[in-house]
Amino acid sequence: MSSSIGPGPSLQDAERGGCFSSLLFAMLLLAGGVVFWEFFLEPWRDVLDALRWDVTPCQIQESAVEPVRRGPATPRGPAEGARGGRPTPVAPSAAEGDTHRAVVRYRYTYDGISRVSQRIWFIRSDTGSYAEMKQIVDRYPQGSTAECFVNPRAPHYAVLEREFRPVLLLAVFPLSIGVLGLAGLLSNVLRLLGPPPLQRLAAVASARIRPSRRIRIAADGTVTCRAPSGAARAVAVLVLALLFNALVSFLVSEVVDTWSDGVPGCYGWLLSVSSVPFVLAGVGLLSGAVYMTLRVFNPRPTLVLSSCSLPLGGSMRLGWRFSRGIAPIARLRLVLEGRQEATYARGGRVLTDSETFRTIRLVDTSDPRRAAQGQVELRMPDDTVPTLHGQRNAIVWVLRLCAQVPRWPSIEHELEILVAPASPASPAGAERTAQSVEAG
Amino acid sequence: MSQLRIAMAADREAFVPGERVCGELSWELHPPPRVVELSLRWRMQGKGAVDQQVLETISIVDPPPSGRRAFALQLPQSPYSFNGRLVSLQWELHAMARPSGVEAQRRIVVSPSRRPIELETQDEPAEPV
Repeated sequence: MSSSIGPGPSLQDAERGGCFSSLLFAMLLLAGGVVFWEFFLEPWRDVLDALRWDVTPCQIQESAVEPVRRGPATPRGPAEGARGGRPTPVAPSAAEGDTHRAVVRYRYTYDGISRVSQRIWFIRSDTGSYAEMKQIVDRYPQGSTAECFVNPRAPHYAVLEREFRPVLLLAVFPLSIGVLGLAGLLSNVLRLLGPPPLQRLAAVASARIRPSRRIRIAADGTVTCRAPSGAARAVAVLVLALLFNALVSFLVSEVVDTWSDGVPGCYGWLLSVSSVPFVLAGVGLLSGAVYMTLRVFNPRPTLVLSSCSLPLGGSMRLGWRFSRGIAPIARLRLVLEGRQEATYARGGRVLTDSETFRTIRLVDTSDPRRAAQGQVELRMPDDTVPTLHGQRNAIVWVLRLCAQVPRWPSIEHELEILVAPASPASPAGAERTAQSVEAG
Repeated sequence: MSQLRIAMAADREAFVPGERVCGELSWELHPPPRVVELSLRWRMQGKGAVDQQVLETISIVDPPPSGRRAFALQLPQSPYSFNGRLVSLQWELHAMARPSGVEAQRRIVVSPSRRPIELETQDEPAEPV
């Protein structure tokens, strides 16, 4: 004779699946990686490396604002009002709304060799409105002396400014896309190498009332469960929302700049449209953070059960109380729910469907004093099924508390309880024994 | 023609938890099997996935080509047979001859009422606090 438990044979390995998701993750990794590599890797490396570059005096030979002409490329002529010995450009082009370029050329001597550079910072972002470009060239008047920073390993490479600029934080976008792709790919690979998803579910399926930081089980079997405050989660979401929105603000300011001189060109439109999802995500994150922060100040419920498990046809005492919060409870609902849960794999993901088959309403009161704390006798019907945790499917019984606070997020708390089969000593069990004898 | 057959005592197919399931396993197998096994098990069928547990197995090694054997298997206190929209649980007796793979099964019901429990949506009102 033997006894064994395990999954049945109906689920196929094919359900590990995920070819499409792997392709998608690979594309994300490629796109993020290429953009980061092409536009941000070198500037980031240079900003860090330039802290050790040699400070070298230089002379500004040319400092001017030039209009950037659209259409066919034209030979670069003298900047308007800039050349010919005048110290700084003063006259804008005919249309100030046009894009302009700052041209700063400086000469420096390194290792006894005289060199010329036009690089101001690591990224050549020296096009923009006339006013912006004028601000740059005003810092370096023609004929003046300044300091440049020379890469000792490549002395032809020098910059006038080496400080960190917030625009580099835009690298987070391609980087996060690349990391998301990499994480997804690794997850798919590990899933293929590791045990099938449904074996991992065994750990999930074994959830029961166990002592923890929030759940205490006394020697007499009394279970006390305090709901989490949610503070850690709220702080995490708040920090994430602030960081994300700080990054998005650079994107938004760039978009505003492109619109400041009227309807932008193709680049401006592309930037504006592509920034919309990021702005919406930022607003969503902030809203979520505010909501979760408000919930932290809610009264915190504690449930007290007179025993660890409840047999069918049996009863237990259920108590509740709330810590002080922002306002009294306006309405309290406490129910015991029986749920059937089916866990299955689809497209490389593990999904769980849940449906409530029995709702036993225990408390429903709008009296703030009664809602604040109380006790009720929980009688379990005997015409239903006990708790059953399979590896893939389950019958679970959950105590669900829902409390409303006026003009504040509501309080939700759940605690799974273990419903046992009717004991032979219970009326249901006695009836069963009689039936059994009669049948035998 | 090879066949396996599970016959229940008094043709009973419904039991209460903790009862003994009695019956007779008969077979007529050509060529003679190396082993005939009878298992008591339940299967919980969900959305595309099955959990199963074998509670007890009786093995008959090197049986004659045909024969019969009475059995009595002890049911546990749970789980119960039930039917739900997402999950259902059935008890069954399953017999298999090896290596031919000839098999037979007999579904039984295990519940205090001797009927599968229907997991239909029920909402019961609150009692006064």
